[in-house]
Amino acid sequence: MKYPLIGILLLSALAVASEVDVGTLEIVNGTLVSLDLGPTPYGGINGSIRLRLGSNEWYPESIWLLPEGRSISEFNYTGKTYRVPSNLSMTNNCLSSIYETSGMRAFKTSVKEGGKFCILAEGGKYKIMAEY
Amino acid sequence: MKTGSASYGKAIAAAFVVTLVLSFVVMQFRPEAMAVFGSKEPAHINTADVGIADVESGFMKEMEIFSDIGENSGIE
Repeated sequence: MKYPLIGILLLSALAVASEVDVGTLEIVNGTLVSLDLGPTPYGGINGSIRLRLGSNEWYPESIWLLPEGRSISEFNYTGKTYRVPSNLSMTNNCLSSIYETSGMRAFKTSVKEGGKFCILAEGGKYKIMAEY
Repeated sequence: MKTGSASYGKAIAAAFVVTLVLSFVVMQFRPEAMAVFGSKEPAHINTADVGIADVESGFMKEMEIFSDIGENSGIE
């Protein structure tokens, strides 16, 4: 590559890792611990969405899951996301951006072709907001 | 004849320009990705409250939403 620095910059921008905290484990010397990992600390909604105004219908650009009584503008992006492996063939790998304010979290995902979406969020009751 | 430092200068200048262009593109399409620089979610376009979701950890639910703007309806 002619400009290695440019290549490094581009590669570092594209490097994305996904991780999830599935619990804690104590290792004691001389013992072997058997471990069954439980469910993920998040759940999800997979489906489709259409909005209608009179005889007009369209798909929104994105979906938010917000704690009840909260609005989108209160939340700031944490820089973190949830997603599932691509071999599950879920819409957009359920890539969901995590937002936060005052210890509360909101989640956002993009709506794809045909209004399809998949969003991941931590367990709880949320208001669904469509953004268009 | 080019010197090594001149080549590096060009490379750094090119990297700077690429970074600027990438930042501009990201700001246009994924503004939330720039939160690391202190920017907040931009003013909102339009939003519609389309219902309530009960998310359970470890479960994936299916949901079809068909909503009239201004009314919460059609959630199955």
